[in-house]
This record gives sequence, C-alpha cells and structure tokens, in this order.
Amino acid sequence: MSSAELGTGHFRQSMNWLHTWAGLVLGWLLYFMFLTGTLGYFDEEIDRWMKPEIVAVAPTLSHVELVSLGETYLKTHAEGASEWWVGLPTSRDTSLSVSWKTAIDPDTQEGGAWVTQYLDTATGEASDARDTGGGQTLYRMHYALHYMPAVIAYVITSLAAFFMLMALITGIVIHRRIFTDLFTFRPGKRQRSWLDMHNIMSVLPLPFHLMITYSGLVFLMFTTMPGVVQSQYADNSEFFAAVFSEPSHEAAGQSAASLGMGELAAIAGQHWDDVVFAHVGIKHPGDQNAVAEVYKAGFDDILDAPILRINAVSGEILDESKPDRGPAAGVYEVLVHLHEGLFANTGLRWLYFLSGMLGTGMIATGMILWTSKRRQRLGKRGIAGRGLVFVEKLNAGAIAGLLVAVAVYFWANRLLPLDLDGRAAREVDALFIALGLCLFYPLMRTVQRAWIELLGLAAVLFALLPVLNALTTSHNLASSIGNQDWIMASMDFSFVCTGLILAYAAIRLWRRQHQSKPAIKSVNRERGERSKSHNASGDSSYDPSRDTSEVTS
Amino acid sequence: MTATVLFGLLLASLGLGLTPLSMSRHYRSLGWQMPSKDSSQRALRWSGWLLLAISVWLCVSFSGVGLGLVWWAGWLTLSAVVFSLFLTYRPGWFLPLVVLLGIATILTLVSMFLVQP
Amino acid sequence: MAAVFRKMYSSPAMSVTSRVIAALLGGYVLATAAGIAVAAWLPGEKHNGVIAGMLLTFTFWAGAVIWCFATRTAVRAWLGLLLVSGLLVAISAARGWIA
Repeated sequence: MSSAELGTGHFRQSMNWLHTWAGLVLGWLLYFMFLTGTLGYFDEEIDRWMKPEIVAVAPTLSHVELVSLGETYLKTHAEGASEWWVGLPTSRDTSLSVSWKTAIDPDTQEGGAWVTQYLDTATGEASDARDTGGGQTLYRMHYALHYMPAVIAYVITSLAAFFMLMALITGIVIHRRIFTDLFTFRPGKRQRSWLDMHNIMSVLPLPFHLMITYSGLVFLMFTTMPGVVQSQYADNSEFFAAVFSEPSHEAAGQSAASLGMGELAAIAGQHWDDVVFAHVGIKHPGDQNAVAEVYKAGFDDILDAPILRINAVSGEILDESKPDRGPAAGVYEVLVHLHEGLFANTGLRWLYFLSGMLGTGMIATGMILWTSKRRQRLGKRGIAGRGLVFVEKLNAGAIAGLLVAVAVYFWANRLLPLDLDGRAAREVDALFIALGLCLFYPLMRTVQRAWIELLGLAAVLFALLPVLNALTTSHNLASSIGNQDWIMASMDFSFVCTGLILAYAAIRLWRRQHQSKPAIKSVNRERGERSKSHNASGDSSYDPSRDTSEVTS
Repeated sequence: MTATVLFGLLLASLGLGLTPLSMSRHYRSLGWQMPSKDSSQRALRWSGWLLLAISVWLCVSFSGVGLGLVWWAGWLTLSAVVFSLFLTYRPGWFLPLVVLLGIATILTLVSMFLVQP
Repeated sequence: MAAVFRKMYSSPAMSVTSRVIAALLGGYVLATAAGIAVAAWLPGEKHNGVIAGMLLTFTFWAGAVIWCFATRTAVRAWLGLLLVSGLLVAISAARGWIA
C-alpha cells in the first residue's frame, strides 16, 4: 500500500490517496450494488417478464369491475383473512392481483402470512404463475445482499455506501477543474481514455450519485446509527411508534355486512373525481369495524399521495390525510422517495436508469483505472506484481462476470422445471454460481482473453433471451406487440439491445488485442503527443495522472 | 403544460450546449479559429448559465420542486452524454446540433402561444 | 521499549493502519456523538431531533475521515477525534444539566 501521499500535509494529495483506496477496497461490492439497484428501477417490469403466465388485463374493464372481480375471488378463496387487497393494473404492471393476510390462530400464533395470486380477467380464476424471485429479489440484493441475515447485510452495504460517499467527496476535491473536463473524452489513449470516461460518468450525473449514496445511507440509518435513538429513548419502540405508526383499526369481533369492494372503490372514485387507483383493500373484512383503504396510482409531487380510508360498513369517508411528523422526518421522507424513484413515469424512470448505469460504469472504470495506471507506470518491460494481476483478474471476473450472472438469472427463470422445490431460491443460486465461476475463470486465461470471452458470453446470453422466451412460453416480440403487452415487448427488446452493446464491447476489445503490437508503439507516440499538447494547450487542464506520478516518484 | 415542460428541458439542453462552445479546447476541436477576444467566450458561457437558470426555474414552477429538479437533473445528464458523444466522434456535427436545439426551443415557445389563447 | 514502540509506530504501514482505524471506528463514534448532540439540543418534538441527528451523522463521519487522512500524523488524527468527540459529549451532557 503506497502511502507516500499521506502525511505530507498536502491536502489534495491525501485526498487523492483516500479516493483511490476508498474506491478500490469495496469497489466490487459497490459495482454489484449499483448494477442490481439500477435494474431495480425496472423491478415490476422484470417481474412481468419473469412471470409469463400472467395475463395482461384487457383495457376495456373499468376499475370498479376489476375490483369486484378481485373481491369475488377473495370471497371464495380467502375467507377469514384479516386483510384483503386488490392490486390494479398501472402503467408499469399490467396484471390484476389479489393478496390477503391469513388470519392468526390465537392458540398457536400461526398464520399472518401474505399470499398473492394473479387473476385472469377472462375466467376470474388465478393464473398459475411460476415460483420466481422476479425483479423484486434482484432489487432486494442491492441492499440486503443474499445468503445472510438482513441486519448483517445492512451493515455491510451501508459501509460500502459510506466508502462510496468518501470516494465521491474526495473525487470532487481532487478534480480541480471539474467543468473544464465536463465533455472531454479522448478515445484510444488507454489510461487517458479510462480517466476521461471515469470523469464523464462521475461528473455528469454527480447530483444523482450524491443523492443516491447519501439517501442509501439514510435508508438504513435506523439500523446503522442506533446510538442516537438510544441516547434519547429508554425504549426504542417508543421512537419507532412516533415515527412510523399508522392509524390502527382493531377488529370489533362482531360480524356485520359490509359494502362490496367495488362499491367502496366507486365511493373513492367519486371523492377523487375518477382518479386511477393502484390498490384497494379491506382490513378485517366482514367485521363491524371493517375499514377500506384506497391508494392512488399517482404521487403528490415526489411524495406519497394521501390514502383514503372509508368505513366499509357505512361507506362513510373516515379520513384522507398524511400524518405530519415534523421537518426532519419530512427530509427523511424526501430522501427515501428520491432514492426509490417510485414517482417516476416511464421517461423519468429511464433517466434514473441512465444515471444509475453511469454510476455503475463510474465504479467499473474506476477499478480499471487503478490497474491501468499501475500498468502504465510499469512501462513496457516492467513485471506486474501479484497484487496488480490479482486486481486485474478480479476486475474481469467481477465486472463482466456479474453481467453473465444476471443473464443466467433470467435463463434459470425459463429453464428450471416449474415444479422444482424452492424454485425461486434456485434461480438466485444460479446467479451466484455463475458469478462464482466467472470470478474463477480469469485465473485460467489471460486478462484480455477473460474480458473478451466473458463479455462475449454475456452478450450472447442477453441477445438470445427473447429467443428463449419465444421457445419456452407463448410470448414473442411479435405476439407481445400484437397483444399490446408493451412491458413484455420492451423487456425482450431491451435484452437484445443489452446483448448488442456488450457484443460491441467484446468485439472492440478483440480487435484491439489483435493489433497489440501497433498499440505499444502508439503508447510511445501518445506520450510524445501528450507532452507536446500540454505545452501548446491554452487552458492548462488538470491532469490527475500527472499529479500522482509527481507524488509517487 | 407539457409544452412548457418541454420548453424548459430544451432550454436546459441549449444552455448546456453553449458551455463547450465557450471552452477553447472544444472550440479548437470544432475546427475554428480561436476567437480574438475572451469576451465572446465569456458571453457564450454566461448565456449558457443564464439559460440553465431559466430552465430550472421553469421546470420547478411547472412540475413542482421535487419532480422539476429530478427531471431537470436527469435530462441534463442525458444531454451531456449525447453532447460528449458528438464532441468526441462527430465534432463537426456539434454546432448544427446546438443550432437545431435552438430552433426546436423557439418552435416550442411559439407553439405554447399558439395553443394557449 | 519506548524507542521500539516509536519506531514501529512511525512506520508508514502502521501509520496507515492507525489512520484507517481512526477514520472508521473513531469517526463512527464521533458521528454518533454529533448525532446525539443534535438530538439533545434541537428544539421541537423529540423524535424529530433524533431523526435530524441521524441524518447528519454521515456528514460528520465524512468530515472525520477527511481529517484523519489529511492531517500530518496518525497521532494528530486520533487526538483531533478525541478532542471533538469529548466536546460533543460535553455539549450533550450540558443539555442534561440544564434540563
């Protein structure tokens, strides 16, 4: 660990050191978190692709009709449940779903589990959706990881997020002329190009990177910063009650005939002037104190819209409000909502996705830059140390390997037998087995080859997903477009695009390897050019690579 | 309302597009002579900042503080990615692109007045 | 003995390790102390102060990390953290004395 930058009293050099190491140490984990988290912006869309049995709802049915359809199913299949919910189709989810919370047995304390079914609106029966983790499991991994208790995962991912925060802050400090370099990309110049790319991916979406990192920390602060709560409250639950409590409605224990869910939805429709709903539910159905809750499909700016509560027996509107918990809780809420981006419509969702992908690329290029800088310093004849080779191989295995692993997750969804025990868990196993194999693969190949082959594999796996979809289900691009099942069609189309982009990257690398001899010459030529261009350059740009070489030499 | 938001976003792109034009490095890569005075560069830079300021105000006042800022920041990121690609691989197309953006912005502004009365 | 200790401690590897521990553990303690001070003093509802304190912990922690790596020696890094943490604890305690 070269620490020559430390203890010199030069602030920027110390921060340069901190930037390098804070970024490297948990870089691969951060890459994992950023990639899976970014895919999470399309969690519901991925869910739809991974549950091909779901029948898209015909747009001719009204919301009230759909809610009544759901209620009919719940009445026959979920009697005695403590809560009934109907999930209505939205722009991101074309399905009609019902969920219920099974009653808790007072003697054994068993029950209380949530069950969800997707309904076919033509028959009113449940469509037999496969057991899959879907996009939700993929998205959950970015903060809860996998194969470990959630609390431990929260501490690990929070620590990684804090390293990210430090890398961002120090990155701003060391990047003196942040706006001068805003659009500068010089391709085909090895380390210089990696640095340019790293800068572009970091600086352009900097507000997003800062927001997503800080709000990520804030998301888990109740787990990671317990000391602050304990200092003011003898009992933690007192604090959480003050911050998170919802108005509770206990069951009366006496049965009463309540209004139908369709009628309750109609009441909400009148109250809100025919707004689109996302969820309609009843707590304690059939009880005298039954309460209906109606959620709008929209948002109040970026925050949750108010929930409408209706007395399910009398049809009287109880309240339509959001609890005001004070300014700090408000800031917390804003940060959490900015992080999740649930309010984003399709266009804004893609912008979120773009920013997240740039963040993923920022981490990947940062890791590559670390090795590229050290390679360049070695020169042509230098022999790379064990640490450098290790990081180079791990980079190839982790960065390209995770892309393979995500593709394998989708393949497993289509190829695993439908009646397999614990099928959803096996899908995730497939992802991590693939990732493990990819991490080992570069040990058997040269670094260059490993990159090309893993990227190529990921490209083929992604590009063929629509073919696999067509072969194993009744969905293909043409039929999806014909059925106006836009989410299924967009997913297939996005897979092909991902495959093409990865294939392009693999081919570029392959070409470069086959011109490796001229490439060495071009390094020398480039060096000459660079010193010249510095003399001629009118605007003396900041050059971090030059900065570090001065420091370490 | 949609036209206003579109106008705000186009204005943001235009403002950002003026920034590289004001930088000598990109100026040269576009194959032009350096301007004789710093003043024209400064004018470009300040009008770029001014347009960005106006656009953020438009986005916020028409989409709300939260949504407006998120749209504005996300849209600028997309614009900047596109600009970087053009400046790297098609520097000659950059000025026409900015001019095109300017025309689109003006057309949106005109359409706002045509639709509203 | 002291000479051996000083020599070991002044080695670059030890200095880096010491700074890393100071930044992570010491920084965390300082951040918690700062969060508690905010929670203790912020007017308004109690839970609101606690949330405000927690929201700010990461900013304080980041500041502490920067201090640990920017300062000239590892010993100074530790001393700085101790001083500020002590001050913050005293500030929180003062609230208790007044109330």
